[in-house]
Amino acid sequence: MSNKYIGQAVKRLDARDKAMGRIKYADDLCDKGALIIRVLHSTVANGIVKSIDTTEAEKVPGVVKVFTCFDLKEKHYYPTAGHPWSTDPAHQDIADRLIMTDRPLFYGDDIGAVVAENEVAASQALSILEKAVVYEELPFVLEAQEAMEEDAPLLHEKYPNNVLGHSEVHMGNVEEAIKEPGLTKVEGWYETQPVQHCHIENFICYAYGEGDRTVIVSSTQIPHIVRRVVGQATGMDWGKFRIIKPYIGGGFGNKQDVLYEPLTAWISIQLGGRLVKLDVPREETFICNRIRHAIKYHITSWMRPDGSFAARTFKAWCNNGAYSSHCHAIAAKGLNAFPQLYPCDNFDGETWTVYTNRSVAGAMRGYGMPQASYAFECHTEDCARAMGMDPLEFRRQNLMPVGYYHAFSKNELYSDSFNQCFDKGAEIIGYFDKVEKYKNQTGDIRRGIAVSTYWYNTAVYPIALETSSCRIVMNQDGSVQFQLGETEIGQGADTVAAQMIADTVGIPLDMVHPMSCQDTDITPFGTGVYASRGTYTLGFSIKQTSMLLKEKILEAAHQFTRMPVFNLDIVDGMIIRKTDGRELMTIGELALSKLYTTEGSQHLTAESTYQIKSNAYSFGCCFAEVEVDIPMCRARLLNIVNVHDCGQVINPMLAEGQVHGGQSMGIGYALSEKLMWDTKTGKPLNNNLLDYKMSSFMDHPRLNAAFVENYEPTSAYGTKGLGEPPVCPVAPAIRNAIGQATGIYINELPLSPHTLFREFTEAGLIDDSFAE
Amino acid sequence: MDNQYKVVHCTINGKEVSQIVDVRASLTDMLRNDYRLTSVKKGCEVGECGACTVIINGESFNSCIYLAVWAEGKEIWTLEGLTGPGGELSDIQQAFIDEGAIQCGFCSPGFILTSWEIVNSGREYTDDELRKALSGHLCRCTGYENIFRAVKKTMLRRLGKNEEAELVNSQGITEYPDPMPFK
Amino acid sequence: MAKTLLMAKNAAEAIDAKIASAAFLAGGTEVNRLGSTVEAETLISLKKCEGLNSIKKDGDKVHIGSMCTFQDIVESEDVPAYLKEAALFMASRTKRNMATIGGNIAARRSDSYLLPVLCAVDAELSLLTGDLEESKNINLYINEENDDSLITGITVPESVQVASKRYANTAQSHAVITMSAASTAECVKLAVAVKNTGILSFNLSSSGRLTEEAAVAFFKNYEIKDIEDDMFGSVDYKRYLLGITAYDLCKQLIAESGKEV
Repeated sequence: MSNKYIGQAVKRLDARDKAMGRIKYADDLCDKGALIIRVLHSTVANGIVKSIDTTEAEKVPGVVKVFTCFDLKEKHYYPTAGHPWSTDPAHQDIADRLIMTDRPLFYGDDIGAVVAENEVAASQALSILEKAVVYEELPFVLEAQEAMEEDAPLLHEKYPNNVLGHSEVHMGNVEEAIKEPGLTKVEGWYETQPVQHCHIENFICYAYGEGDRTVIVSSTQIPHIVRRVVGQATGMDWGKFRIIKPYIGGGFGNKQDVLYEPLTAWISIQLGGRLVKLDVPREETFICNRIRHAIKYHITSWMRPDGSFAARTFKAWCNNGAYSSHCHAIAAKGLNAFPQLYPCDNFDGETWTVYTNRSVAGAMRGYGMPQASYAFECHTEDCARAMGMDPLEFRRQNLMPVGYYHAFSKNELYSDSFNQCFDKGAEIIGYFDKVEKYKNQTGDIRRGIAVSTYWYNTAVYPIALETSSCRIVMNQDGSVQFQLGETEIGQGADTVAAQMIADTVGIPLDMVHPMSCQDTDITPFGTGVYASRGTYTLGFSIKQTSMLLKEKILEAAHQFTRMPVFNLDIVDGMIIRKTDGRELMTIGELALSKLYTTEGSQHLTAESTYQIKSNAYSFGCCFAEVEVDIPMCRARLLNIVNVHDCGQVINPMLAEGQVHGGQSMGIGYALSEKLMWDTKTGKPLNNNLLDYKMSSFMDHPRLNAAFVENYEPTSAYGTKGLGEPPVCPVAPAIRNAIGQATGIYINELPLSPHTLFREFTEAGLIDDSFAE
Repeated sequence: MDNQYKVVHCTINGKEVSQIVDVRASLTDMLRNDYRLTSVKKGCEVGECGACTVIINGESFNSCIYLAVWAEGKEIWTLEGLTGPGGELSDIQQAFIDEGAIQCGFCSPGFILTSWEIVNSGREYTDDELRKALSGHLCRCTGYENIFRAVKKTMLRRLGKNEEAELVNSQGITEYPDPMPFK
Repeated sequence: MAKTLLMAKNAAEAIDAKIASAAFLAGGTEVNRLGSTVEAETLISLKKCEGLNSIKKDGDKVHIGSMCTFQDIVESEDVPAYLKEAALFMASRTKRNMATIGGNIAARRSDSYLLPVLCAVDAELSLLTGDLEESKNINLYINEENDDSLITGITVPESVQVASKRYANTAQSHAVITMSAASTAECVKLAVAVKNTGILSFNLSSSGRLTEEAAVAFFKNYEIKDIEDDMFGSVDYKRYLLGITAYDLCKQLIAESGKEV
């Protein structure tokens, strides 16, 4: 196996087409004659739909049909999460969603749909229809802890107190441990906010009938899972659906859920297989798709005089919104990570995931770890300060040590990732000099610098099935196409896969072509991309399949060259004799001969599934330098460096891109983004791009990414996950830097001017109350 | 109740064309539906994200809030027009590829067109001016970093400053002068 | 959505067509947005109107046609620097190529980019109502319910000291406050757009010195109807921001002109 391409900053394979504007996304592929669907959304946060009068809406010229929740003959409740299916009923996702419901549970729930010949007619009919809905309004609840109280409105009958998930972890004996003399106790409440993915391409899908099946083209990360769920939602055999995933304009976890494919498919079937398209407008994407869970944390630590942890407790309340989607997984991830990141013998942890009458929370880049890392690392900083210890030294002392082994997941920390990342980042940003320089500042404008880390792993073993399948098909000229269930969503999965195949088989990269658009009819089964599983999991099936293909190629080479297989190799597209390096035939000549020979013709292909039974820690850190203008209550990010140990970096340029993207999301998360609801009506307040403050070009400084490469022993190519880790440490690093600058350590997000104003005023840093 | 229609004559990607449009249609709809120029994307339809940007008479506009009828007599360029007849890429397109400035690619057409306008101007923009000039485009994948590199390098190269261009990537940690009030 | 579109050839034609159910369409950044609050049966497009997009210097005054875009204003050599600064508050250049000064005034948004600076300098509007051409101070215009006049031009003074500031969470977002201070011989005039409240003006007289504490106290207690807690900030935060911004702008003016406030 060569290493000609792995480790190189190969330009992504689809970059040229994208730079030319040739790449087709879902809307570009859909025929102009498609009927347009607009969804009728609930305008109450909790209620019952008593009636919907469709007569006036139906009269709008161009309207083909108006559907309401009352048109559903069979109610099939279905789960929407992008998780592999489990054959064990106890492990299956909660099925609490209907295609259209008469019992809306949040402002924006789906209660009907309008189908029309064009967009104008559809939106005209929709605005008429919105006024024709009669609701019985019920009291609603928007916050998790409130929803758990006895008298709170109940959203789903099977889940008393609205708790859909609850888990506990106990280690040692906390009660006894805190009796040790000389302990310092640090307690904190930390709260994170709901945000949205804001991929630039809104969710869109279209569906049409073909034979006795329905084809759905969807902007999704999880085509095979979509097929299963559409089947479950319509009560039809799963094989009756064919899902095609074209190029998509970003997913970030929103499209790791089944969104409107079931409704679109159902409508197409009702209309005899007509082509129908559902393009979710931006305002609806904000609240009717998925958002990030807002989580509240209560963490307490007891430390010995030397700064080590004697005991710790952890509680978290996770606001899930009105339907389960990814269920308890997000909260559980945080709970399980806590005692691993800073190990302590005595630990009590508990977490709840709670239904509320708000937009549904699902997967979003980081899957609970940006929230948890914020809580963990704010708390760590608070502990270091309480002990009078340097924050970086405190972390080094208490972090998971090299050799740490986690029995349940079988994860092991093989290398000194944390320290190596800290060292590298500190050097790049000039950490130690700046810490000195920023001590004892006075004046209105102050600077601060801080570091934070995080916990993350790769893929989902052992919690759920991990499997990847790959098929490689060789053409007569020796070039190959490959197919994977792991989808290209902008991260560059296709390109790194091609690099791996080229090196493992031994052919030039320009002879390797991805079949980028998954089609459940053709593509081998795969669960898609999420949990930073892409490069790690596809690596296994690629290596296995590439080796199978190589075996077949060398067998054929033996047939034509008479040389034994064990003396042959493929290098740079040439079959060579290893013993003397002689070039025997090109891969193209071999493929041609083998296909057309009259003695044992064979089409050279290979296909295999690999079930992955390992996981890999993927750690790193973020250094953030900020400048705070105290009177103006503004914090500005001056410099930021993320360092990640993601194992062998297959493609440095693409890896850097992933870090930049994660940093960008982290910066918005830290400083400006927040979805808000009106507490009196349950109505969302800022579900549009102007009022929801996503960062623009002017809001970022230059972004810096660096890597530490510790080859992961469990991995096919030494890699570990990278898609999500970069988001996790950014917000706490910024919060801690603001703290270093001003002495004010804030426990919520975002750290926007009004939050800073409130905190600075309370602390007396600014004074807006004057005696007359 | 009839819809109103009008013929719009304009030049698109160097070619003179004419088309009947509904007077209420946006330029995005005309370009995507009638001319199949699908590089013009719909991201928000309120003029906020810049994915629909096109160049009209040398300046960048959000085509989603620009009426198709206003295009009468104008010269319009979309991303498809930047590629040469034999597939030759312009320097700005190549820079986006080389610098890793493209991930999912959805915001790229808009960005590349505005960047093209910027480097065509022949001016040298400071970093802050570049950021301001490009702030009409939202991107969730790249954090804007590699896009910045691609545009700045192309701008410098066009001005003959090749050595300065090569330094752009390594200037990530920025030195700021003494604290000054936030602007 | 409007049913009819009229392309007016000049101002007279535009005003002729103006009935209650019709609205003027200037740059399109307000009216053409999905979810725009402008409702009308007919849109009167001013894009092709002759004579509405010139910029002329006239002694100490500058006349700006109402259909001049924000980018026209930024690029013109004749427009005073303070107005260019306000136009640059609109961060998106693609939008600046479309948005017009007339449109921004007529929209009367509480997060308007240009209204604070224009009010602070007492800009004069040229209005066409029916056959009647008149000139009106912008501060009077914005307090009236006036939908039937067409703004044809704006006249601003050239030599006046102005300082402006705009606060928004990110470069693209709506501003919490946008404030301008202009100093004349007699006093400092402050005009501020407070999101969800409206446009407010103050005259700060030149007697005594303005301190930061005094400015903050002034706004803390000033009777401002409709200022409320909302997602852009609490009442306290907004008032505080008004106070320190006012102080800051006055300080800037003093530094530039050597005068005391």
